[in-house]
Amino acid sequence: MDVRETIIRILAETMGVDAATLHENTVLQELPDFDSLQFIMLISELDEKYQIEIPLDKALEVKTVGDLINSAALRK
Amino acid sequence: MIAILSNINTDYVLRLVAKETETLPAQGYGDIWGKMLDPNSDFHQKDPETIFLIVDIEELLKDCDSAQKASTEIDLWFDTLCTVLKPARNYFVSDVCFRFAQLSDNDSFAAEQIESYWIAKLSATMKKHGNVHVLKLNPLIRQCGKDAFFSEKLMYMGKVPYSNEGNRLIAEEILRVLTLLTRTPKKVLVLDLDNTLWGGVLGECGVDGIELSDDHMGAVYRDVQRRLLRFKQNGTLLAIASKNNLSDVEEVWETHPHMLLKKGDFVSVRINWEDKADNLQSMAAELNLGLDSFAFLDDMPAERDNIISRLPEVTVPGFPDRLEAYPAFIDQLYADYFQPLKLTQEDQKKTQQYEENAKRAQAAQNLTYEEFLKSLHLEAFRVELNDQRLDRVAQLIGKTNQFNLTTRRYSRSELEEMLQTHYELYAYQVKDKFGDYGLVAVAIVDLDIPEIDSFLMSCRVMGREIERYVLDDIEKDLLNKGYSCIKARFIRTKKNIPVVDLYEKLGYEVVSESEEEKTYQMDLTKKPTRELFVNL
Repeated sequence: MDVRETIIRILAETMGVDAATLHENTVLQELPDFDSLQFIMLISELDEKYQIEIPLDKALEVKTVGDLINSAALRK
Repeated sequence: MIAILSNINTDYVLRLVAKETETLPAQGYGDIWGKMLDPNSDFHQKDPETIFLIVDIEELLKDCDSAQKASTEIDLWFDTLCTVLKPARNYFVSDVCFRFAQLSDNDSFAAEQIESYWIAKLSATMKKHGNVHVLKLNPLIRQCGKDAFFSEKLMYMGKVPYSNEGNRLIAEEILRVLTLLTRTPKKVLVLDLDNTLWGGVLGECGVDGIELSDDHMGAVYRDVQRRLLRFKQNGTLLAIASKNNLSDVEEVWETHPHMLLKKGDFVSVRINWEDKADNLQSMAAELNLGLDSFAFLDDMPAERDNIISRLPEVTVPGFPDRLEAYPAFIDQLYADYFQPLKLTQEDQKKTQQYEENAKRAQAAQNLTYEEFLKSLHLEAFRVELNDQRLDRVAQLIGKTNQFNLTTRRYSRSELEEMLQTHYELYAYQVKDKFGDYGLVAVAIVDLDIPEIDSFLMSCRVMGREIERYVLDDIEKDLLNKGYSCIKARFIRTKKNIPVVDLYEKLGYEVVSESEEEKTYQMDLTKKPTRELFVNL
């Protein structure tokens, strides 16, 4: 599974935006209707459904789509 | 409108529920009570009818380092809950579960004890208040397991203790409970017999051949019957619609050792070879109930389809594929269609609860009232009499009606004469932080007895408990003068009912009582210590 591709796809679905508009530099906070709850739900969805884990300390620092991708790892 | 309040972040649950029903927008978590009591809060203004209170026990007890402190904290939570309850609103309080693995057996046992303590307090509260119910999350947690239900990461990220799955399950449970609140429960459960209340076909295998026993397949049907009997005891009406010979069935009722449900347990019986839809219709007429209050349970798909197509108002649940799942299926059937959820409007205890709540609100107010009195910085002191003051005293004696224990009217000259003999006059001035009330309390004591001949106060200072101070002062003065006992009197008029039991309240013993008056006495050597709200 391509971690980057999955993250972008799930983010696009969650936010109701076109995946093509999401880049490494996209600041999550600037996405329409994005709030801390959405972020928590996203982290949790990636973890539970796709076993893509973003560690707690990294998760608290994430600002852009790129940060998200870089801190993600497939759970063993 | 519904509200979901919690000491942790339930915003996700709220968002899921908000898709299906009108919800109060997120209020921020924590401070449940503040939101419920603050008259400016959104909660207060929108006044939701159904309130869900989801409590995370670890968060609630985070500052408690002993079992004692934990139970005190829980007691306080429930005491506070009782003070905010309003009639005609339904409250769902969650059960609780420690999220994370406990360090040792001792810790995990303590956790279970705390969880049980919470349930015990909740049960007691539910008994006293018919509008408090339990929101059962623990069965959901048991079903999917703690690891799947909770999320430590989300807890540390945003005080969301639950995983997405956990949040979803909670939202589903809330929605399910809401349908229970609004749906009308069914009244009658119509049952087939063969392969429904026992295994096998009675007509083919005879009484001894049916599966109904303490072992194996027979035990499944035994357990089903046990459940049905309990539902009947809770108010569900049971009926039979079966294609059988009545005499064969009667043989089962009379002779089978494991047939729990007897003839008398059924309100209506149609054991014949006619169409079951016709039977149900005649049952409905017999019981004088609409078919929409009926549910029909039958193992045979053909029989079920017949009812579904001919009598669409009748609820027809399916039938379990696996026999071992049958008892649980019956439980679910009851929960889905029959379980009553008491609404306050129908609850007989509503009046009692309302009174209890009112008392509690009053108690809360009394507390505030004492604080209020203290905040006034009241001052009271006895004043020496002079010309001016005597005028004022005479004025009060002449016109005071409400706070006047004996309503004896003396003119100024009469007063002057009395003061020359065995009468003592006590006059008091009262001030508070807002101003000076002047001379507002007067008492005349006949020292020959001694008895309080007159006691009156201006209505300006009623409700400030000044009378406590006045009586206290008089009693002390008499003690100093060497008296050991004092008498008092209340003479009833149309206007002085406010002070009808003033003396009793302040510790005086009733000596005699008639329609027109009461007499009292007090042993000054045993005079009570009273809390005063003046000169603090």
